Amino acid sequence: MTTPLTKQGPLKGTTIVDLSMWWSGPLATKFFAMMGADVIKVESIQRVDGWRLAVRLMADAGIEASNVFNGVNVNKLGITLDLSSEEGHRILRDLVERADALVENYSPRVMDNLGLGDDVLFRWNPELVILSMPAFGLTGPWRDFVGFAPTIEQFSGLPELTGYEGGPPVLSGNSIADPSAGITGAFALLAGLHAQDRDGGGRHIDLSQLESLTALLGKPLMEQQAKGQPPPRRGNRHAWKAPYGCYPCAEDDTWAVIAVSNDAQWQALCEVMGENALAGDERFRTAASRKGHQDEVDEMVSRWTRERNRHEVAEALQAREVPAAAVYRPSDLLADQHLRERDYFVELDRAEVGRHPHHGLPFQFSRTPGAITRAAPTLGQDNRHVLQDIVGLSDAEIEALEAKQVIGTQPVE
Amino acid sequence: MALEEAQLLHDLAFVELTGNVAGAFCAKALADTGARVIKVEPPRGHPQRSDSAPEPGDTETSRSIFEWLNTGKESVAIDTRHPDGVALLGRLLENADGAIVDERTQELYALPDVATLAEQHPHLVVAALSPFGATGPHADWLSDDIIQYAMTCWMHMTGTPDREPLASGGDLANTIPGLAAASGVLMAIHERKSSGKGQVVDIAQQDVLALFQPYTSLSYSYTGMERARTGMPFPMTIVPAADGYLGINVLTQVQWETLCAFAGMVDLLEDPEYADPLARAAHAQELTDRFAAWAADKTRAEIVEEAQGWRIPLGYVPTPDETRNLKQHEARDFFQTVRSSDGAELMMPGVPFRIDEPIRVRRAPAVNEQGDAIARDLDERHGS
Repeated sequence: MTTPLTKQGPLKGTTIVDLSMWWSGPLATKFFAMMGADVIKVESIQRVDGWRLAVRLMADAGIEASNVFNGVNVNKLGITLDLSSEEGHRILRDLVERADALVENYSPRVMDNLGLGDDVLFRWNPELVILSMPAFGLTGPWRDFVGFAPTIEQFSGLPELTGYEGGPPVLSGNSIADPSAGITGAFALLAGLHAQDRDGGGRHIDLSQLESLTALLGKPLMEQQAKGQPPPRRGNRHAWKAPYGCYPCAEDDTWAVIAVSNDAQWQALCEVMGENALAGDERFRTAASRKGHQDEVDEMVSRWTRERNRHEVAEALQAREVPAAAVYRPSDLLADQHLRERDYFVELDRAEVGRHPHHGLPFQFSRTPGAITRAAPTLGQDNRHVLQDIVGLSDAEIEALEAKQVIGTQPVE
Repeated sequence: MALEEAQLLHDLAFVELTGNVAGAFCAKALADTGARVIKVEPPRGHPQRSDSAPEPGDTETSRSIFEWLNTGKESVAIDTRHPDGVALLGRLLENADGAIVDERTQELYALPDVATLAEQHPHLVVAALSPFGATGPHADWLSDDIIQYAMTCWMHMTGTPDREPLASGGDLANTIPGLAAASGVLMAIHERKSSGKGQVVDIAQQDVLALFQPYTSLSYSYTGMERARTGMPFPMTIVPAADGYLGINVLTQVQWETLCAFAGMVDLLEDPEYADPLARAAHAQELTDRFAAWAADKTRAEIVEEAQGWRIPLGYVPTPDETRNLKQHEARDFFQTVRSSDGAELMMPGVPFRIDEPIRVRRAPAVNEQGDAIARDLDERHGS
């Protein structure tokens, strides 16, 4: 039996049926897929992953052209299965019976509506670990509230903690509620699988995407309680460090951050800027005095950065042990020599879009490293492999499923 | 569900030897999920107990943050500059499944480097967190939250186009990598069940935070266009309502049409200038202003639940204080009152996942609270 996937890594031998869509659930299962687990991503031609249609709507591109879909579904097998059909259920049941876990991120009523409530799934496989990750959790008065990642970010408390001095709350612009839930989901599922492995028995984990993001904000939430007021929005400035912030560089919309944390770093910064007189200036000698003169300090630093390339600023200061960095633009992130040398980006060829870098392994294992070897599946790409080699259907049976649109490789309009 | 079953990781034991928030948050995630986590503190207590607050000298805030960052852990104070301390730590590690270290471990605990530690204890899973990882040209670069937001493209996307990029609040540059590291730990623990061997898991904050950027980086690779911050106007925006900020996130055509009906702005539905998302994008600021004017004299309570009943994604943008009191969190017991070792009652976010019942977080330890019990237990194990 041939498999299109060569797997290595600490999770080799673990099998996950992945019904999740968009970004949060698929990022959770990406952690598994790149570290050796077999992840079978299930879409249907009646209901494809939302990214496939979003990109078509916004960029008039085909269903295989979504960069986020293709980035987050590497190393997964992709099949289609009409989960509202009897045949679809039968095949899903076959897969669930062989799986260790099932992941879904629908809104709470969907799995029941599909006849796939946990009572059904546990009947099929009493040892299954189910990870549900709806926006607001499976219970509570807001369980059916609607909203994608920015809604969750709005509810989380994060925007009130971010913003320019004196300005309104700001959204991150990064849809971070999705990946935050994804990283939380990976951990929750690993913990559930560990307990299952030890004690046996199925488990249904109820993960709230809203709680996932808020749980990461404990520090300012505790600060608010201790002081009776939240940390103020102060742009990029620090409570007591100076100079600390984001400074303009030579080219249009390019910036560098500098985070001077002690007096020695201030001295080194002055020397790099060629401002030896400043280093001895009493007004700027201590953190407190620099903070007291921060507008002046920032203006002097800006005068220096404005003449320079963002990367030169970072290199020159880091060479003197002053914390500094270029504010990466998208192209900078892909070009980062450090990430390249750590083999962080993995170049993969993908049908219809060609060769592109993919975000890779967020951790490096010394003895059993993971690996990314295969691009995200096209719609239904692995139908034949999964149905024939894993489920054991015949050619004729597979053709019959195609004819009835239980499976397929093109969305039904 | 019985307590034992809710404690998913109750059979695992870790030794925490960290200096920074990311490592401590990794250990907290494991502890809150039931693992035994022994935090090793310098004899006079971990510096986090007094320097966690943004302002130096703010001991009250530091204590509150410490209580949150160290829930569920045990504490043993060890003088690792003394041979007895080195021996005790050695036995602790011998009896643990894993250790969590970071870039401050060597300095804080006078310990050998990670490779030596792993060599001395081949059964251990050693999670080593650092800003840029153990290898590569930036491995020794100095970092801070804002450095991480800069070097992952994150802050390039945050803020308004006419101003400088913005770092996010909330300490996410540390907590997110810490949580990812906890996943790395459990993967290595899983592998050890078959091999019997530990290993080192090298976790770079930058690697983890860069995972949040497929939108920007891969979009650039696909199209050659560099995305940049937009200031987040309509349809994903925040506007002031009468009693605080209101979130709007109207992505689908149906949601747009329902919102216009809900807000009494049917004129927009008839105007071809607003017919589809691309057309509306050209009027983003104008629409932001219009919905801000609409919300200005309404409280969020008047708007949010009714709009959600219409399936329109409007939401609260709560302050930290309001966050604790959101109806959904109250119904799910997400925020929990924890009584600290010195008797203070603190409300803190709990565990964001559950099996039937919320997982109860356990309070943080006082300095060396379990020190004697741990030493006794180790003596018994060694039959001395």
